Amino acid sequence: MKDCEQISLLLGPFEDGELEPHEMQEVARHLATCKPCEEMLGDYASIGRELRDIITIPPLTGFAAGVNARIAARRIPLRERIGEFFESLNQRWAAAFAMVSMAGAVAVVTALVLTPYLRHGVTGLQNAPMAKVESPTAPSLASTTTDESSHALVSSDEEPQQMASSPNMNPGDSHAVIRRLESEIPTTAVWSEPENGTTVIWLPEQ
Amino acid sequence: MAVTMAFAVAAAGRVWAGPSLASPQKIGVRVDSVLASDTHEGIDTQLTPMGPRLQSLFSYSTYHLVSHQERQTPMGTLLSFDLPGGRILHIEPHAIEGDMIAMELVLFQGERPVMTTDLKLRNHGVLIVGGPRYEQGMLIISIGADCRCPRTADMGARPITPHSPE
Repeated sequence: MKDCEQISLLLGPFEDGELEPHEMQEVARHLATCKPCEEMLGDYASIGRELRDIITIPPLTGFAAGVNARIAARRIPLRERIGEFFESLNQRWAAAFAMVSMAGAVAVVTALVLTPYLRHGVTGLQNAPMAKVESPTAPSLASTTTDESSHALVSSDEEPQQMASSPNMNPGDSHAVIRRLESEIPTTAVWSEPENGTTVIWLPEQ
Repeated sequence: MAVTMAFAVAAAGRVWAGPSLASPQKIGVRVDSVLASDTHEGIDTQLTPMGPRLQSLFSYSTYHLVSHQERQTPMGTLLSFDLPGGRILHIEPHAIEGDMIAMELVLFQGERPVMTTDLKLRNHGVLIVGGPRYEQGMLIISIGADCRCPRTADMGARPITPHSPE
């Protein structure tokens, strides 16, 4: 058990309820048997009460409004105002630029997505000559892919006359009819350029 | 006498029909190997007829003719072309269908076949096989085939073939 000297150091925090539970219990047990310490605690308590009574808290009603009014009344230097103006302008321009950039990006993506379909539609209307890729009769090592800008058609039928999946496609107008294409390169592309009567097989090396 | 006349007529007929049956139709095959790269050197002057075509197909800044090979072969005979970078191209024309020449192409990288295709190419048409890397660019192989074959509008017409591949 602690003596009075040690307990006296704990009386202030005890009064304020700042001790650990086991310390609170120890101090309380000591106070029950020690008159001087109990009196000392009484003194601490009375001093605390008197100090709280002395302090007067100023009224805070209207404080925030008063601060705002003083800030508003403060004259902002010209340099600071110009800086603020340009800063707000910058923010506006940044927002506008971001909007325009986003709109441009959307337009470009839309154009990229739609162009092949439009080109295909136009060439279909003009009965343009096309390359045809017939399905392999033997198992193919690579799937034949078609380039975005191509006019190549892939059909599963072996008969050339029935192969044309496009109704506008006349086999007699084709510059090349590919019956079978086997490649170890999986991204082999086939396309035709009707303008110069050329068919291309592209084997991009991995 | 009648027998002699019959033999004479038959012999004359054989002599008249002989060249077309005995010598199969020949196909001219052209193979141009072009190096396409982005070294901004323009189009090789030797590529005058082919340059604009390549420019419209691809977006390289340099086209340089590496080799030009031109041969004739009877139908059904395999032609072998040595290409840059240790590649070999086998071409075997095997039929004429209308105004199209049916052929088989095999591209080898050394001994390994990289691509095999059966196709019909229009007479005087061009097939381009591209993509393999070569030096600082890409190799573009232009393959053209020519024959003195009659143009037939109907693709379903009976093929004029000295030997039937199918």
